[in-house]
Amino acid sequence: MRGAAAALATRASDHTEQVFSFKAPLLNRLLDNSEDPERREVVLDLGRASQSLLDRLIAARPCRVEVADLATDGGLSSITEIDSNEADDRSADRDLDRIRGLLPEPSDEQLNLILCWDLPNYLTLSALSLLIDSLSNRIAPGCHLHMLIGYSKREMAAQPGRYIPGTDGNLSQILPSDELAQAPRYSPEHLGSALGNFGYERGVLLANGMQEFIYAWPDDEPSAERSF
Amino acid sequence: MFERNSKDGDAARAGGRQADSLGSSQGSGASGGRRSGSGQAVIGRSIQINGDVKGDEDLMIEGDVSGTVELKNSALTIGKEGKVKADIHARSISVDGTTDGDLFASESIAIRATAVVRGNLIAPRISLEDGASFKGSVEMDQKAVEKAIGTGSSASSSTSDALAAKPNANNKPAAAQPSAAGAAR
Repeated sequence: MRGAAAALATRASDHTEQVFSFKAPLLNRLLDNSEDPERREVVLDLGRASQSLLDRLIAARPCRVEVADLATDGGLSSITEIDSNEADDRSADRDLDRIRGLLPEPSDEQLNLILCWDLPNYLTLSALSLLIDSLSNRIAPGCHLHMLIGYSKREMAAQPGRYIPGTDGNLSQILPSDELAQAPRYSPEHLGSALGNFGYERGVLLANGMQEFIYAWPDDEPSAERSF
Repeated sequence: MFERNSKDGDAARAGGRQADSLGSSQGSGASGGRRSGSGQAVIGRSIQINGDVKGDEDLMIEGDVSGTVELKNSALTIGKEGKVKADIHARSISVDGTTDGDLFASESIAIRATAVVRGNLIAPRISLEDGASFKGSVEMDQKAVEKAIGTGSSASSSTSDALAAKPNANNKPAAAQPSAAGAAR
């Protein structure tokens, strides 16, 4: 979380919130380019809502944006430690229900884009798998999933950040503190094993050491036919 | 004036005042029903309403309201102290406080930095200040909003129309569908 972006860090006067800014080209591509600008899309934002994100999404297509805000109110911490290797079926079901309870009430409309931000870094692969599983009935063919993974450095911010995409193409990352934690450094293969039928599409190493990934759901496989 | 449609016979407690008098009492103290300097009616901090709030004038809520809020042609402001557990229908809605329910506005919804909002937002224009806590969905797609709110996002669209056309938890316009209060919670 340091490196080149550290020069852009600012420290608020009354707390240790830190702001970094960097380019995230794959995110920009997803936000600004819709395959069909007339087609309505549904976007699931697992992070905190921001006006900038709404503006960017709505400028590019008619859409509904669902905001889960997983990182606040203890939501994320309740699923952080899920490890299905140590769990029986009953507790796995409980974990799944718990995750579903953290998400906005599902709609009949299928998801075209899922924005994970840096949240997967704070989940076990089992928890990430359950998260995807909880969305499985709602994933549209061709759905894209975007995430930011701490990959090239051993440490990452101790808590997830807030992310605000700017109109200048920069992504602002707002961290609640300067505390660090060990990064899981998930590889594309690790992540792929937890993402069901989402397949790796593209990855870019960013200036701050994070890896930006896009995964895509197969075009020809409706989620209803999918099994985990 | 505001109508009170109590669901449980305990609709309003305001130090003995009834909710019916809200909006007509002026300068009645810091915590009662009154009008603000700008002329809007105020549900003060000490007031709790369990039931339906309806009216045709602008309203500020600083107290606790559970039920429904229908101000078809008017502006609703939920102040920092306000806590509303209700589906809300209004011309415009501004939230500084806490809401738990779906918000329908024929013109605009503004979620301020201090707000804590759980529910779906449906309006042609929605603004969300940095710092606000929000969980739910945002619907600004013109066609979907028109279906949910009524005809062409008109401020004069009837609330019953809005309820009938309100998206259910699945965001599908659901004619004759029961109210899906709390769909995003």
